[in-house]
Amino acid sequence: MRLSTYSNIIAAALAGLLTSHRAHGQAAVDSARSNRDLSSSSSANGDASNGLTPPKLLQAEPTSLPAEELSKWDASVVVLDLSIDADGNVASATVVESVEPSVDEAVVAALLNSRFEPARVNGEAIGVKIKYRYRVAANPQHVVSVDATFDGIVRNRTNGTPLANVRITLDGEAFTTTDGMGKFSFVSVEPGLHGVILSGQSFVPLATEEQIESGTAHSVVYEVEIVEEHVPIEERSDLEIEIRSSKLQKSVTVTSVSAAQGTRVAGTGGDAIKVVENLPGVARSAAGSGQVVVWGASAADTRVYVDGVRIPTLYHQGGFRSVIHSDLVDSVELVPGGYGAAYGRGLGGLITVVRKAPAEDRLHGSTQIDLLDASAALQGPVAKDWQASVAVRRSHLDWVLNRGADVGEALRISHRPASDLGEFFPIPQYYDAQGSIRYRLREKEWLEFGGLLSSDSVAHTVSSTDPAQRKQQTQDLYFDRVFARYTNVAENGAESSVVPWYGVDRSSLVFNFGAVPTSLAIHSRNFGFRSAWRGPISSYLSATLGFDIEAAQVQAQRSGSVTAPPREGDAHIFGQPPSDQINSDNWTAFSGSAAPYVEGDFAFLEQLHVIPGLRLEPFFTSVDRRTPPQGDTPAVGAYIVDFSLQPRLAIRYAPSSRVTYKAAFGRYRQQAAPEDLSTVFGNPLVTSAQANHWLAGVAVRLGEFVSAETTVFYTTSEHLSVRNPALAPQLAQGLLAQGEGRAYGMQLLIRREIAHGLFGWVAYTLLRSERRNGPSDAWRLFDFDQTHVLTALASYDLGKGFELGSRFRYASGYPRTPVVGAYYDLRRDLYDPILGATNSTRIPAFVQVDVRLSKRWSLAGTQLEAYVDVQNVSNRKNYEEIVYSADYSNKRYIQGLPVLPVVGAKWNF
Amino acid sequence: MEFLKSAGGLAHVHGIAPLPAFAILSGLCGCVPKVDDDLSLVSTPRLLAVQSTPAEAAQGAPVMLQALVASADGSLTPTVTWYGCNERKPLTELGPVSPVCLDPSLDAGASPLIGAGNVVSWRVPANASQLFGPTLPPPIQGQPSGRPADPDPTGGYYQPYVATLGGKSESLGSLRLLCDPPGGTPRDQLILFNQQYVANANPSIYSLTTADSLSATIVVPESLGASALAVVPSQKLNFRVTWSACPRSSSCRDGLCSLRETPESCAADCQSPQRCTGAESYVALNDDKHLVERRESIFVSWYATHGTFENRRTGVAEADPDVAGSENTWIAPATPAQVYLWLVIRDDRGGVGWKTYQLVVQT
Repeated sequence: MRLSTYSNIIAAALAGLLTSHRAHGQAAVDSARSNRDLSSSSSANGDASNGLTPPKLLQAEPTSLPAEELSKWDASVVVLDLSIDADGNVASATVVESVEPSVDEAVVAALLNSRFEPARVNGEAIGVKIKYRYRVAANPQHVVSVDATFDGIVRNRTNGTPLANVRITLDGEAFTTTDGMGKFSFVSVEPGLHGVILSGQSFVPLATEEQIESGTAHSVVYEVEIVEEHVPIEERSDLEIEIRSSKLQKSVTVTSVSAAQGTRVAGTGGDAIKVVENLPGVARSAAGSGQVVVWGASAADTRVYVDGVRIPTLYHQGGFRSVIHSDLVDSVELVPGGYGAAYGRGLGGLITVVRKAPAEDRLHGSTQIDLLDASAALQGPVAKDWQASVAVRRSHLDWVLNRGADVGEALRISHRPASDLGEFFPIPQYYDAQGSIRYRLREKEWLEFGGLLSSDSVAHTVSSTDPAQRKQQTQDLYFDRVFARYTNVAENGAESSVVPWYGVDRSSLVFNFGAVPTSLAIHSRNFGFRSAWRGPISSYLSATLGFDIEAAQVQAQRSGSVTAPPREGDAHIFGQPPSDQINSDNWTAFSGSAAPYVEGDFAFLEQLHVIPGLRLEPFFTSVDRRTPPQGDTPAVGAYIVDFSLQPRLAIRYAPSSRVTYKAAFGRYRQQAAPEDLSTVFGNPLVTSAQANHWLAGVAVRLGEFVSAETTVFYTTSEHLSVRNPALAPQLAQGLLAQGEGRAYGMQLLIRREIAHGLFGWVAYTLLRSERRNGPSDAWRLFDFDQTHVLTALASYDLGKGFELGSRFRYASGYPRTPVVGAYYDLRRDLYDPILGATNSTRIPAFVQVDVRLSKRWSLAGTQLEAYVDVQNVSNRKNYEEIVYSADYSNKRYIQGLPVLPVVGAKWNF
Repeated sequence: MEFLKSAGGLAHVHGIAPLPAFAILSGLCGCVPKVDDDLSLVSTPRLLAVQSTPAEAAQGAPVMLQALVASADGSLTPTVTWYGCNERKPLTELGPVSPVCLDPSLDAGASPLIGAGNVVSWRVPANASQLFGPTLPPPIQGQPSGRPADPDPTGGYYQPYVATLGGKSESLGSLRLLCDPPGGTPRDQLILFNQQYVANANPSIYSLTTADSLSATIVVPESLGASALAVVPSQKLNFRVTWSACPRSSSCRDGLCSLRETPESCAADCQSPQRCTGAESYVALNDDKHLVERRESIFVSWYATHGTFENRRTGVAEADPDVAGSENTWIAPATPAQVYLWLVIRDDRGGVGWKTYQLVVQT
């Protein structure tokens, strides 16, 4: 028979000295000092500044209640006044709120036999009187959680200055205030979800929540936006809080950046998600491509999730904008490898976008406009317990350029008709929208419905008097998602979530090079379902159990050459005309997987966490035909089941608060892409690919605001789909799952958290990524291998609303295949290149400096920000691609963006 | 502009390579360098074209290959050496031919010698349709038959060969194979195809004209003629080349064996068929393996020993209005010179023809 405490704290007064603590064990104690008294102290948790150390339960005595009584009164709470003497003994226990006399009596008896660490003032033990709340627990096995500590720093979001005298209220009752360094702490906090309120002189109270896990040290940094002094408190509406929690990560190597910080990075154009390209382990994508190449894996191998909903791409065409409005983003997180069992279906990294919960206090919104697009966002409460958010964005670059052409024509600078701009510039057109509505079913339980969509279109036509040189290309991408999300957080901190989603992906590509057509159109209906439970199992173990289902029904049409577009590893030259041997195919496929998974977090001595995981994933693929169409012969389909066990393991060892060692291993599987399942262009029976990730590293806190983290990694992949090298490949075997890959290297991140107006980081990746088309082939460089990738960025608050940021990037050039000769094709009247070893040369290295300057004004309770984001401020000529003359006798480089200032403004209200 | 390879093979989002992004970049900054050579200028001996007679031949059939070799002084001295090609290209090869065939010294079996000279006779390999056509290739080591070759946009299959000029530069030739439609063609369409398909004929240039200062049309004489057209230095000439206008509807006894005319239906035209030497009509199978009527595209390549053409190649695509001519502008050199012009006309079914002209640039 045991008793456990209830986590809420009630206040009590004791001789002008009041404590706030909760002890834990077989029984636990909750106490707090009064708000009045607490407000005058810098810390309620034994902070050295006032010399007070609250009492702490050392030994809890179980009650003598019989089992049937415990069951009857399970979860009942007895509130008592306890007097604890200087020796830690309970001198008296007086029931304040009774349950039942027999229960009260048993509880009092148990407490009188319990023992505490006495309260201390300046190290001297004293007697104190506290309010104590005692919850009866029928099953002692339920008492599994171990208290955690909760501490943090509150800073000015704008300049990083620590904020003193900010009141931190926990669960509406216990509270403390920050010291001169902005620090606060609570000790012995019961695991679970806690409401946190920050209040101070210069801002209205802000509320947030913290999920505190058993036995952990939960540290956070709150960055609070301070309004101008002259703004009346009642008009201080645009207040934001940025939370960067150091909660335990299940992934060993993860880099997370808050949206508020991401939008301030030079070169991102104010798009929080674009900060991903500045993170360690990420290759610099070819200019304008927006591909995210992580640790030498294909961009298509890295999965992107928005709160558990998979989306096919992170960026709009060109990579200028992400597909999610920054106002709705809380943070973006990149795990380049070695992630846990909750995710799969990808050989590369994992990008998760965490959406911001809609504001609950009032309506918030923003509008933004710059050279590329315009957007608006709105969020806030719509009814009691209902909150909603919505954001839309649309590009207008086409309009801007056309108007620019009009002006040029009017000023006789240019004679180019505006309507013909599309012939010269493939102008991206895009839009996206997101929306959700959230309902609070009860405390710590939510139901949310939402959706998002994104559309891209690019068209380009090259006219010529030479029919063979006429080119026309259109590319359209569209996806949408609708989802529901149910979240419940139990009192012991266990969290449950269920996320079903559905969406449509449509993509089409038409590329006509002279008379040679190439087209690919894919329409898929995607289904997903993720459910997970995460919570404590014992004092040293927490676990995650989940079920992850995804399926896609795909209809595809393709025509053109088998070799166009080129695949990774093809010996190919930019500008090389496609082969004119063409074919076509229509096919349908249904594929997916249903993966139960489990992951445990074994905590030993709070320093060592061993996190094993297992993902059991049967893949299935059904195709409508297994051989190419043969006249009127009925098609014979195929069904493939591919079962996989994917073990994952992460280990974190923190011998001190400054150093953490870590290592991880994981096995990953990925199904063949639907476009590879064609009987004509691919192989409908191609199996899934798999990869192994090994990594190890160390994270070191170098100072108050600076940390360093380095990771070495090695990944292998096999069963990659590659072209069949046979001279006469068998029918429906255009691709074979015999490709292999390997990547190894290290990454380093030195990061300064925002303080005194300055934040930034240096990220460096040393990498070598190789592929081969079969076990007997020689290794060659991966198409997107980059030996060195260095990004250094910083942002500094200049004061008076000005902020200056800069970004420096260096990246090795991508590998390319050299041209060693050429021959003349008499029939097509063109030259074809004779190529050297695949990917045996490189484009010259890329070096660029970007600068961002912004200014904020407060306008009647709203905020206006104007910014100029100048890319390639030194106007350096960076080479992005190699182009050859028609007979391949001469070569030049296509240069990247010249100096490009993007001016924009954003109004927040 | 072209496709950029995506990191994941074809796929990025549903297999769409993120090409336009880069095109966007290059378009916006206007920083794609100009690297084109003037391929119209003949300054060294070059093999400009090869004509096969007939233009389309079945496997095992004899053909005659004739080369057009041009040089700066108009002479035709270098010798052409011809090699066959007996090796298919793998799917990993993005070019039009197996690299083995491009270097005859590597594998004589893959590149057998045909002969030497500007005109050679050759017999199309008996297994051409299996290697390069729609017939299933022979099984290897007990395996099922492999994948047949894919046709070009006109439905044609081609037997490659290699021509080297003076033992140095290689050129790849392609002879259109007269063969059955690909496997999987519905039987009714197969029958219709065999009834209606007419083998390609080489196109030919009908005339090259320009206009004088009074806008009067001047016919440029072929170099074989007695007199060369005289122009002044830096003179700008607008040339118009014409070819035969082919009938788009069948008319028996018009002297041409046209689409849907057979020896049975019109013996007068098709017993000893005369073919139109312009943009012929023909039948081909579409993606759904159904017969459709097509019209050839015509391309004209312009070459000169001096001066500058505005366009290296002009022509009329199938989608263009059905005209039998094309225009180009040539700017004479600034100094007096004897100029040779070569016009090579090609149809998109592999047919080739050419004519040579001579001009004199004088003050």
